[in-house]
Order: sequence, then C-alpha cells, then structure tokens
Amino acid sequence: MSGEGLPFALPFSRFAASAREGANLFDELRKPLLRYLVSLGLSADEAQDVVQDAFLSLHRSLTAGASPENARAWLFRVAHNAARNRQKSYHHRFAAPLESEALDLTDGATPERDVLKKERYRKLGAAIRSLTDSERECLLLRAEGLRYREIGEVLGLATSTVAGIVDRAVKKLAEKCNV
Amino acid sequence: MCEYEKSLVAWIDGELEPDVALELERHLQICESCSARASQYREVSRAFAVYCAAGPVLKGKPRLRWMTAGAAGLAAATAMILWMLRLPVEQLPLQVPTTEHPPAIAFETVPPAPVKNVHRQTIAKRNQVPEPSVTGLEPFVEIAIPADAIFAPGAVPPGVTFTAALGIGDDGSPRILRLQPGLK
Repeated sequence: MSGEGLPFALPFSRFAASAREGANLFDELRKPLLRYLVSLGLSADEAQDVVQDAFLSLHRSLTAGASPENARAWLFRVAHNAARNRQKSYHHRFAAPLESEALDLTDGATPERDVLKKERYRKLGAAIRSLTDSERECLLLRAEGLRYREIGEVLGLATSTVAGIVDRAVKKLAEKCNV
Repeated sequence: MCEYEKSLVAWIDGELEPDVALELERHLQICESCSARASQYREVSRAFAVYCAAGPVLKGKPRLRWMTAGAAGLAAATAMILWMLRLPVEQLPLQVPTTEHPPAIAFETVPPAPVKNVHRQTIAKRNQVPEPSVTGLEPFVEIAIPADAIFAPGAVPPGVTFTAALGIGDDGSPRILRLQPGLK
C-alpha cells in the first residue's frame, strides 16, 4: 500500500501561512465534512455545529503552535469523534431503511428502468445496513475522498487494517447487491 | 480465485505501490474475471457514494413534514386556547359597564307575583315588593323583558315575562339586578 504522494494532503503550515488558503481549506472541506456527519446520523444543524467546532479547534491548535501533518484527516477525526459523542444520532442513521419512495434516484428514462434502479438501491440500502460500524465508516470516509492512511488517522486504525476493512466491505456490498 | 483479486479494491482506490499497480493492470488485460470484478467493485463504490449523499438529505423531508405539521398543530391549539380564554374577557364589557373599579353585582330572582295582581300592578306598586338585602340603592330601573328574549323558544311556558329591576349605586354603577318572572 502506498502512503506516499497524498494529493489532498493539506499541511497545517500551509493553512497557517495564508488566511486565504485557510478560507480555501474551509470551502474545500466544509461540505465533505457535513456530508460525512449527516451520513453518520447527525441532523443538518448538529452537523453544522460540529463542523464549526472542528474548524474552531483547528484555529486554536494553530494558535497554540501545533502543526499536525494533515489538516483534512485531523478535521475528519475531530468531526468523527464529535459524532461518536452523539451516540443517539450516530446510531439512528442506518437503523431503519430509507423510504424507497423518498429516494429519488431515478433518471426518468423509462418507468421500467426507474423501477429497476429503485430496486437496486433498496438492495444496496439493506446491504449497507448489514455492514459493521467500522466498515460503514471506512466506506463513508473513502467516499469523501480520504486516503487509507487518512481514514486510519480518523478512526485510529493502521493503514493496512483500513485496506482490509475497505476490501471486505466493498466485496460484501457487491455480493449482496449482485451488481 | 485469482491471486490478484485481493488487490482489486486497493487498485481502484489508487492505494497500490506503482510497480504493483502496473503488474495488476497487465493482468487485467488478460483476465476477464478480474476485469469484470474490478468494474463491479467500482460500480458498487459509486452507488454507495450516491446512496449516502442522497439518502440523508431526502430522509430529512418526512421529518421536516412532521415537524411542520406538529408546529402548525401546536400553533392552532394555542390559538384556540387563547381565543377561549379571551372570550369572556371580551364579553364582559358588553354585560357590565366598564368602570375604574367594577362593582360586584348582586343577581337574584324573586318568586312570581300572584297572577291576579300582574295586570293591575304598576311600576310604582312593584317597587313596594320587599326590597332585597341591598337597600338604599335608588333609583331602581325596571325593564319588562319577554321570556323569549332570554330563554330558548319553548323553554318557558307561553305568556311568562320577566321584570328586571336594576339598582344603580350613588356612583352610577350597577349594584343589583333583580329578575322577577310574571305572566302577561
């Protein structure tokens, strides 16, 4: 596995060096963080609070002279821990199936195709609910573009462990969805 | 199972060392099974991202509907309660003239006078009826009121009427209201 050449690595020194780059970092990571937190079960308001707190913590860390290597993984870790502390919301997200009628994932090409697509996403939803917490978290962070090493930093796991979890989770989904 | 299959997901994610990735890519050109699986894993990964991005947003809608309905219901109930509480307050001025210190009104009825006397009684004679406990509240104003004006039609036998005697205090405020039933 390669831990080198992280295209999205955002060193804190870069953030600290320029307020403009700091604003860019906020613009770049705000939405992925919100999406991740909402996927974990937080409400939109809760997610907004957590993201603001995470960036505030980042600012304090910088003010205190801390310089973690990767701001993105650091922010996701802070957000992840905050979500974990809200256990009720955290476990709510995948506890029940999403309403199939609410999932407007159809493209309207033909009714038959829409039905097939809905059926496919229904199976996918069931498959996602069958994953373990670790598997889901790894896939969610992966879907936000985090590298295995960054996922490991967020969840406190070794990179090789993350690789194994992601591999297993993807294969589970493929098998259960029969994609 | 092909030995390269265990590296397919990591290869899709660009997590393999360059030389290992190159070797796998060469293998994919000749192995249909691994090539098909790689496409499968890539597709399910994309579907997962779409599902998770779409789900929470759409999931919020029903919750929002319930919250809106709940808020509307609560507002309606509150408005109803306030309206009910306000109703007597609004009606009071219609019944009792508003004064700086509204007086308590003694309300009483007296037994009906004998039928014989009803036709002969004049307003002056009615004033001779024993006064209630609140005396000295002259002048009395007597008003004849048809029973139908007070009670629902049919609730009072035909011909029954009421005489309201209103005692006014020195300060001009109503002090006593006496209702005397009688026959026409």
